[in-house]
Amino acid sequence: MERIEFRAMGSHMMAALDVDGPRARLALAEIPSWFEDWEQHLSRFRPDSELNRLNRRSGNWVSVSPVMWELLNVSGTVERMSAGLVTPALQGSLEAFGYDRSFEMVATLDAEFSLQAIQPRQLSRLEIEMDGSQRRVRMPAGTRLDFGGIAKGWAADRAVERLGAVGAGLVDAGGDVATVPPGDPGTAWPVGITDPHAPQELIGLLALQGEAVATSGRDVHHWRQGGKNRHHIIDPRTGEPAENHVLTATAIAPTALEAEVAAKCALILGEAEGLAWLDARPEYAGLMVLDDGSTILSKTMGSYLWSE
Amino acid sequence: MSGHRSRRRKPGPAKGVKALISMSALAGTLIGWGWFGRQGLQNSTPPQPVDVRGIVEQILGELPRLLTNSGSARRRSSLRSVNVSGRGSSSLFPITRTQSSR
Repeated sequence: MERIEFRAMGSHMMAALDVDGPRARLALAEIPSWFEDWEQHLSRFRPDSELNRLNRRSGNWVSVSPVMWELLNVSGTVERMSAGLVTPALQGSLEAFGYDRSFEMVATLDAEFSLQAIQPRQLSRLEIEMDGSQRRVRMPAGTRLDFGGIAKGWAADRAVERLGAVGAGLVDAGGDVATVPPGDPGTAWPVGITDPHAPQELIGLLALQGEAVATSGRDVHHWRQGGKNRHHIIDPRTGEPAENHVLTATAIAPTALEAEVAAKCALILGEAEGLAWLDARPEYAGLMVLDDGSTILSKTMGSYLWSE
Repeated sequence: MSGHRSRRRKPGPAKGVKALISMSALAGTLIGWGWFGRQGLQNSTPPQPVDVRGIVEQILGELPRLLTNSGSARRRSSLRSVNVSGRGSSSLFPITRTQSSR
């Protein structure tokens, strides 16, 4: 087995191939450059990224790259599958709640941010005119996008798809994990689920055979603003950080993008609604860890967990 | 500046290479022992599988691996509900973990 680790998109990345030899090492060595390229298109923390150029030119027709075009299409799909709970059109809300810089900066400042007025348009869903013939788009004036976890899940899927040409592979994009099933029948990739109450520990071990998994939570990135606890998971129904007892939600799905969206939906909806949402979708499974340390499993989650 | 500030030397790339060479040499030695052991036993007893990985792991710690349904690996649970409230860390080493973005 060969593996590579690196940092990209503000997160720790890891990729592995269940193949030995120079071909596997060469394939893995290419991955950081893929992520660097995607980040240059999709990051909102790089002033010269394509995303920031697009945000700055909202209200105008803008030609976009194939990567941006794909992400905008994917974002529309994500909005539909989540009934609007997950959307990239929330950057205004995030900034209003103090998340106007990278996670590292928010964490180290530990300051009280001033509460800015939230304009209703900042909470609107993705409303973009798309001209496929010229690959150009026009966003309503004032709209700003932040792909966030959508980009990580998408990147994990694209990377593992490319690795699949070499052999059974796994890509972990900051906790969003996509896999190509191992070639030998009966084998699986062992992926732990971090316990948010004790991050060095695991609350379970998953056996993935081509599925993907992602976790969304408010356990890591939170801060105080105007005397209130804030975090980066915005509930579009209220325009405020989601408030319920779910600390983290982990979801398994056919792709990392879907897993990311499913985890975020469960986290935003809370324990009862989130569980019902997962159980209504047999292609997904999930697990939620609550503030009090208890754990809730969806109906099919048990079949992905290993036990003694 | 006249302050007494000790500065720890950063480990250079050579140190990592040395560690890699040491680990490779150790693994090679163990494989060699296993091979010689098998040769010596072939005349007196039937051949036995040599678990080189197991020997290496006893010394270097557990190595990542794929899960299998055979051998010493644990069986996949057929239960739909699994008790995970104990929070004990698994004895099987995960290749990675899913968690909130860090």
